[in-house]
Amino acid sequence: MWILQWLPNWIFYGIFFAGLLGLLATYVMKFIPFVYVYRTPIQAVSILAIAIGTYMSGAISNEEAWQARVKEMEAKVAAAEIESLKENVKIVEKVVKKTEYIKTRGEDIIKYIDREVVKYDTKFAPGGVCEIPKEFIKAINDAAEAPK
Amino acid sequence: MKYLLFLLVLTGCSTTVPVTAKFPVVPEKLLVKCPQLEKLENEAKLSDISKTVINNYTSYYECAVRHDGFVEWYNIQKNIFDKVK
Repeated sequence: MWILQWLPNWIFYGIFFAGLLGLLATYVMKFIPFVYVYRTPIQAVSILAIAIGTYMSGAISNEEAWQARVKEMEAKVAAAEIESLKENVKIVEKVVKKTEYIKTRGEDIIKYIDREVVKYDTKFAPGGVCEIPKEFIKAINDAAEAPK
Repeated sequence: MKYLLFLLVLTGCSTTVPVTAKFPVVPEKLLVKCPQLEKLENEAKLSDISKTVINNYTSYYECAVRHDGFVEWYNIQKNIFDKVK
């Protein structure tokens, strides 16, 4: 409620008690001429003040409950953000570790090819004993083509 | 009196800003696109074919790790988000 942000809470409690005192005064202090003469307007204003005071007391209580809920949610969101960041770090570390392993393994296998498989290059060269057919290369290239 | 009533009615207007959780940022490592697979030259030697196949396998596994990481990231973030209620 915007009004609660502009005015301190005690004002509304004050209005309530002023209304209560005003109402009591119209019964107890009837001997005072002013009170006696203006009894009805004082009672009307007092009842209005009590109504406003009661309404705003409820509003204050409701506002405080919501503010507490907002604080609780803010704390939860902050905790979730920290947890999220921690999990991000864990995931990135795992991905980096696995990627490095895959790269190293690939490099090791390439070294193995350079050492062992190259021995058979001449045997499988065009015009060699076991020439690699063009259809084989085409099939591999077709499979490597990205879908459009 | 009418202004007082007007003010009283307006007190019901809420100014509370709801608490919003920011969408978590995906780690850059998981946002890398998968590369195109390598192709063979027409006159490729056996070792070239082997290397291309190995490079493509490596690319696949690197991409798979990132994809799995993204899936894991999503599931974890969803769990964390669902807990904030």
